[in-house]
Amino acid sequence: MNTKNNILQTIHHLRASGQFVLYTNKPKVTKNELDDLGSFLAQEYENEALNYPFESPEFDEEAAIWGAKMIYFGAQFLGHRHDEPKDLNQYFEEFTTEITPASCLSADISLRFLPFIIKELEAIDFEDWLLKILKAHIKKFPYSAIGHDLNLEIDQEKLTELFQNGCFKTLFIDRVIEKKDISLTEHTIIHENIAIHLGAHKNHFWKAFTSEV
Amino acid sequence: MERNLTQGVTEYWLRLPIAYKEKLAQIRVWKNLRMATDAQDIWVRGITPNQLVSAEIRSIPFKKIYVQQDNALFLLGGNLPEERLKTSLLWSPIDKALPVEIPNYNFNFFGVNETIDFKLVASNIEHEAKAVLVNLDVLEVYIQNAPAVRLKEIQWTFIQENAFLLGTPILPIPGKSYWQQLNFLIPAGYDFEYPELSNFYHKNLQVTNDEYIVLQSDHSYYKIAKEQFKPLSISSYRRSQ
Repeated sequence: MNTKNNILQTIHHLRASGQFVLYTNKPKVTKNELDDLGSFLAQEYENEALNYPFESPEFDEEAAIWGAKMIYFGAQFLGHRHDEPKDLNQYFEEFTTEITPASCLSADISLRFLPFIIKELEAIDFEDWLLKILKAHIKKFPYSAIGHDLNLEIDQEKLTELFQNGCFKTLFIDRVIEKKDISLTEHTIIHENIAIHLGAHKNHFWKAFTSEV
Repeated sequence: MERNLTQGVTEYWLRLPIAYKEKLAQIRVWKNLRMATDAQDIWVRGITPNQLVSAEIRSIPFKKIYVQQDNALFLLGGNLPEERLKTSLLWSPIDKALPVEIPNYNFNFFGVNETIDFKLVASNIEHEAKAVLVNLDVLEVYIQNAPAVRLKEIQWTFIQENAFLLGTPILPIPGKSYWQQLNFLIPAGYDFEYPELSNFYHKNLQVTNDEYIVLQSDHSYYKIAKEQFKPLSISSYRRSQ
């Protein structure tokens, strides 16, 4: 692995041990670095997809790299920042492509760690501008925010559309059940699917879950 | 005006001279009966109409059957009260009042070389299934789109061409199911012919704590080491192919 490639090293370390190591105080990414990062993420996705039910969607490199950049810069600016708030929007660009099950799952490889950073930021300063940016971005990827109590709005229509994909639907509901995120069960479509997953054993697996909405 | 004396009666009383105490042996297994003694007699109460007509009660000699009406005991079929209601007696469950006595040790017993067969018999008692033996093809169809929460608590291993799944709640797929007693996995619907001896079998087969003994309905068995079991997940299934 290229030791100069800061973003790749950071993400690799994060995936391997769940810890952040920041290598520089001037975050910058080059095209080459992102290409290397892309192939690393593709490998990680392939490993995880082995455990995905149904047919796993194709790896979406663009979304995966976008997610990695999100967490890389998020962590950087949690650690220290010199720039003015107005200058920092350039680091967090909008994800403009349409969101599909493939992009949700690919971005999730690194995006699943973002809620921890959001929590840290909330603990430091609830009014932080960075917090608002990150929250606005992760709102589009509800799959990565499950179980963290971030009080995000959920676009039910979009979710219904994503749930057309059996693989994504099963993974989404599995994660809700695993994290026991009771607040999400307010949404009818999630509630229905949890009831289907738990079946007759709902008392055994999740006592707090009630069949009535 | 004449009334039907048996109206509303749910229990009958039985009176037996104390000399015939052993005659009660056959009904001491009925848990609903309570028993008391006074100077000359044994009193049993709590006998249901069904039990009254059974062979066990009818075969007891020298008995008198009473029904209770208000504060008096009427002989069954009689119109006049025979006794006052017994209020001062001390009632106890019949199996406590008539304890089993073990016969004296027989020093001249020659049957010590006799053995019993290790046998499984069909059983009526319901046990929760703990393990299932399923065909791999059947498992594959289910597991590809199974919710992770159902797989999480299941351990699995291979038995020839089949998958042996251990853990509850068992997966909703057809297969041979087993229930667990000690380290024995016994086919569902079967039990040892003498369940009391399971501890003895356990010791006699030299079962260690690191293995399961899977019994089969044809009385054969095989052992599975506990370390052979791996957590079941979609990836562990796909990797094993």
